[in-house]
Amino acid sequence: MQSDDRVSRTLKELAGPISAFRSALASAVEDVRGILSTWRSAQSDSGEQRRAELGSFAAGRIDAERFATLLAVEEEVDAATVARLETIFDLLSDLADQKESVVRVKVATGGVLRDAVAGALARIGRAFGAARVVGLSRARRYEASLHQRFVNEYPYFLWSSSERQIAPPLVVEVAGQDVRAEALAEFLDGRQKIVLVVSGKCPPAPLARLASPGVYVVQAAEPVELAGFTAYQGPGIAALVPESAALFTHVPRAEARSWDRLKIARLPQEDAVIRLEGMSAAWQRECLRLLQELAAAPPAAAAGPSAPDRPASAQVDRLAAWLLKRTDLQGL
Amino acid sequence: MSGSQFSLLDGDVCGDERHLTIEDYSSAVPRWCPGCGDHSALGAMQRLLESEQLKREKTVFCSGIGCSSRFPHYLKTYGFHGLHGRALPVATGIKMTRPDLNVFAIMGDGDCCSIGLGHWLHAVRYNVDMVAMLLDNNIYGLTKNQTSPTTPQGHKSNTQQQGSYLPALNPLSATLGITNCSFVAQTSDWTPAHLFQTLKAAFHHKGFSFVRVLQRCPHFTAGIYQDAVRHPDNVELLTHSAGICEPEAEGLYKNHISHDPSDLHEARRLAEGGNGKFRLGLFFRDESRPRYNETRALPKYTAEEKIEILNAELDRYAV
Amino acid sequence: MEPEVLHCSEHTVEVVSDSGEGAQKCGQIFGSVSAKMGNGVWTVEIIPAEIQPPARNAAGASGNRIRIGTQTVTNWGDRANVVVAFNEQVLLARHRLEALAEDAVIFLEDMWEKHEDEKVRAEWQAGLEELSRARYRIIRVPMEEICLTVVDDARKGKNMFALGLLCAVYTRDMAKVKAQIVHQFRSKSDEVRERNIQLVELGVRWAEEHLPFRIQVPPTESDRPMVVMNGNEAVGMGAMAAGMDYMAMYPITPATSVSHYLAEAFHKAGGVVHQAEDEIAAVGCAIGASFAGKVAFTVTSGPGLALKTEFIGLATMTETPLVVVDVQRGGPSTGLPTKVEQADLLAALFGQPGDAPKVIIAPATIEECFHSMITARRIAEAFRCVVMVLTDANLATGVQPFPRPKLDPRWQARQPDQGPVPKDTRPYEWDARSGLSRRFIPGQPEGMFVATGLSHDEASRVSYVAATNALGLKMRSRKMAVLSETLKPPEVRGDRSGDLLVVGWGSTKGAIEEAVDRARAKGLKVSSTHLTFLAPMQPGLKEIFSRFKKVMTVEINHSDELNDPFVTKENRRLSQLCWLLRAHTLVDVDCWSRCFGEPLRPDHIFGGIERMFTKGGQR
Repeated sequence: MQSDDRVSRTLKELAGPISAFRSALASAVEDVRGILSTWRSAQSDSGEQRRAELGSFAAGRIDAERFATLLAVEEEVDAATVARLETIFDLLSDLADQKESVVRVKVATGGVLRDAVAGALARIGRAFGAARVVGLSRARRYEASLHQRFVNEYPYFLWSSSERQIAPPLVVEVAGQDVRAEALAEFLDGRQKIVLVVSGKCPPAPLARLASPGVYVVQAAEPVELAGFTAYQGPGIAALVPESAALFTHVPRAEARSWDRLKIARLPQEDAVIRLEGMSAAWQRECLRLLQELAAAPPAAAAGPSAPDRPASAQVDRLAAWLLKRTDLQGL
Repeated sequence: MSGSQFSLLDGDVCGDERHLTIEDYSSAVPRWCPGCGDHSALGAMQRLLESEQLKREKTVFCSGIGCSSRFPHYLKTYGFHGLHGRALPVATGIKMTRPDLNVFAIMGDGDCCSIGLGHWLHAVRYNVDMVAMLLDNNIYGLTKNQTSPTTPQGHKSNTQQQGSYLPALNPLSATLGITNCSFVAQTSDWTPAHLFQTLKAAFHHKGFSFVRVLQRCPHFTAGIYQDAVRHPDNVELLTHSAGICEPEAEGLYKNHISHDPSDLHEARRLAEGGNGKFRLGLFFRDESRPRYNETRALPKYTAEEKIEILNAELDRYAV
Repeated sequence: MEPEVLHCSEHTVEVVSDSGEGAQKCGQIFGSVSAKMGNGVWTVEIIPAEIQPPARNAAGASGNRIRIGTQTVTNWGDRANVVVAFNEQVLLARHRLEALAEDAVIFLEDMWEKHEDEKVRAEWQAGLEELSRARYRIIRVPMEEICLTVVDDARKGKNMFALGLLCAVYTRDMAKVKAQIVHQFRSKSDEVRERNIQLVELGVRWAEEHLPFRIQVPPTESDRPMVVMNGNEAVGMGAMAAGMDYMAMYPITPATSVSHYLAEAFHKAGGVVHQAEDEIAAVGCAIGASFAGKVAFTVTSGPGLALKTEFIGLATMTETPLVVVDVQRGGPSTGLPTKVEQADLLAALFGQPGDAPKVIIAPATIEECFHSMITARRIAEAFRCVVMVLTDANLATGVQPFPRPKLDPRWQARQPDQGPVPKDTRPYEWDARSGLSRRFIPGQPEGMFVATGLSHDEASRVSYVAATNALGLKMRSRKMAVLSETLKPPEVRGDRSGDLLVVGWGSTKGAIEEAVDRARAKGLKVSSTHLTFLAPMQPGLKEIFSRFKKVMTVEINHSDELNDPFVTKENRRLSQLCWLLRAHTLVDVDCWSRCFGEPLRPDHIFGGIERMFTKGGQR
């Protein structure tokens, strides 16, 4: 099946960022394991734990009980907190175990693309929610009524800016008739990447309306064309489209105007729009026109890069200068 | 340089992020002599921390031994005040294992260019993402006036009382001569705004950013840059839209050399110096150079996954 | 005619050649196959210091000794019973070192007799003349001639022929031999592997056609899963099992192969081997990594350890956990890079100017090389200190089977907690009793501090106040006292009291115990004990020593002989553990030590024990 093949090849292209997220997940699992083992040993039965940690070389050579007393931790932790952390440990381990499947989404035909993406991100977000709960528990500021929900679902709008930097890319299988991609704009922040693997009849430029200055947008035929997209250190959306659709790349660059950023490789005729339920021909044509307009350079587009803002001289500079002036170096 | 995420848990999960002031970044009161160039470098660094709002717990200053190496003690961040000449190996070990940290290495001229020379040259080649600042006052100050590798030839010191015998080592050309060099700039203690802008550019560069600060020791080398301080004509400012732009210095110093920092050949020529002028600015920058901390970065595994991998290893040795 | 079968409980084999003729590979495969069949095995490499010493040169003898037994084998034994030699010169080298049993069976390449070079023919004649004074049974084998039927360059094939010959003599399982060849040459082409198997078969056939005897060293049946590897591989694997994932090193013999192994294996498990620009940078990077939250390690040997001295002192002063593996070789200075010695003990303990207390452990077997890394890491982390693991060239290159470790996730380093530091806690808030303090890691809010090698107070502020410095010294030293409190006294092998107690450390354990067992069988009242913790010392030593009339250490390092010129009881320089034990227990401990650049042989140690009795060593 063509679609499956493209998905696995897309996953291969995105291996770097997926593995980075998994590394962060694995680190978090180990973080929680560390905290848990400290807390558990503070609770009871630390001798056995210490004996195991010291390894078999220590057997018969080190008195593990004594070793344990020496390293006793004074932290007092209640059983409920330990239990909560154990749940989180399981949650994170489970997410780590899911490997690639955690980033795969399939939109049922006739389904709502936006909701499927939001749902997938909310599930991934449980990792961030869990991390927050750990932090709050550690800081003794956890309140079940406020924070319990974080581990069940942690929707995108709650994500912090740094969480938006490390979230993994999503690979979404969707039918052409359901590519209502403009609704995905709210998720294009941080370094969030979304790849739509589109099958069946598809509008010619479903991503055109997402080409804002800082977002990498690409409609391509093959996953191998996603290298630049994957490497880009900002948000991006890609669609692997059938032959009838436009092929273009929108690469954000500092001080570049839209015609510098947008390169169109293939543009279907305006009459190539397809009959699709819920996407009128006019709407589809509008997307194509937007694309053409963004890509068209005005006749006199020779404007050089504007001069960077000049920073105002800070107070500290003046202070330092004054200090230096005060010190008569020659006199020393 | 910018720190990346290490674990999901290393962000400030409690979300209290208040704006940090210069005072928040300051620790003990510096005990350098009045007029020491280190004050100027510290001021610029504090300003950088403040303007970038760097997380204090995510920032590490490594130093060696010497006056300049007290630097970390005056900042409210993590610090490692180690051995003479050996700030860079420690900094390298930190950044390789903790890419989420902002790492700075602060060295003096004896530190970097004499006892730690091997580490310096190799650090340039590793191109580990950090800022390395050479506070170069041309003398050993802490141990009271001994010749350093950058002491001008003929300058008298306690160890070379007839005047330094050897021509001074040029840290800029040395750095620019090393394969995989990615950022080299020079600034001075008497141009604090330029010093700040240089640090800022160094901080934002991805790779090993080498910044040499020309500075004076009020006791032993107070006069070495008098020509430049008194007569701005003796300074040549490297300017370019891709370089370091600092209007105050550009106004004060009329001699501008337009230098494209991507031009390594020209950078080397300019670094060689000429006609006794002091050149400040960005000599070279190339972000495309491979960074060792990234080359060597590997995915992380949980304890159970590691055991699975190790068991496969043991299978290879099974009887 | 059926060949005669000799039944033995153990046997020692040597394969010696010029360097580059592959005797080591032959020995390794023979050892591994024997281990896989269930024999006890200990192999030792015979290594020339140069990569390519001149051919037919006694000093360039290269090869392997493989001792196999029905039971566990704990050392390389005394003298070889069977030898395969590729020329008479390398054989002479072993003969002159008294490495061969009186009745040794020797398979000797005889192409030299009719060599075109007159000088070679003369050497052969003289060599055989010298060897004929011993009672060896020399069997001439036309190895070159036979190998040339398969390969163009017999230098590249004799080792596999020799392997076939030995496998036939010891009736090794040929399926296992072939599997091992495939494993050893896994990076080579199919063609190479097939040719090697062909050569082995030639060796087997020659033996079947010419030899009227076979040697049986029956293996012990066991269901216990075993692994077989050398000590450096075990150190590397132990480090991984301990969850360590950052190792910085600089190439140095005989430690380097740890990094060779890890460069391949570490990578898979997310670990980094950083080859630094020098020994100093290597330990510096490891300290940086540890400061940032790891327990990092570095691996070195004598000269490298000397260079790392200052940084190890800094790690002690800043209480940064660090594991240093020192694979000891012959010293001082560059010394004997490929040969074994146990002469770094005092340098490890006292190498730092100023008082730098640290933990020193010495694994005695290859299995312990693995497991000691787990304990070392944990102690370094718990006590915020430097732990030195002293192995040696004997362990590093020796191969021994041992029970497959049952990996435990609790062995692994915990990820350091990045949570905020509790209010008003200081980075060196030494517990007044134990000297222990909580470790702060960059990334922890409210924990910001500057680690410094200067004298510092509990908040890590630089302090030149005498009392502050004294407190720091006291607290760092206190940690060692605390650790020693958790240690158990060493076990005594043999009777708990008697005339002589032999004390050893490190790789000599098996040889010492074998020698002591022999002495006991002869009625001598000797016992032995082996120390694994050299600093802090295991408790109870003085009490144990008091139960024996005499105490003597056995070590591979230098001590003066009492009857040497100018040497008196007063000025005699003793072996290293001996110094320590005398200082530690105030007992008049004697020593017997040898450093001939090879592991100790049980019969030599036995000689030392006997002499202690005949010399009137009674106190």
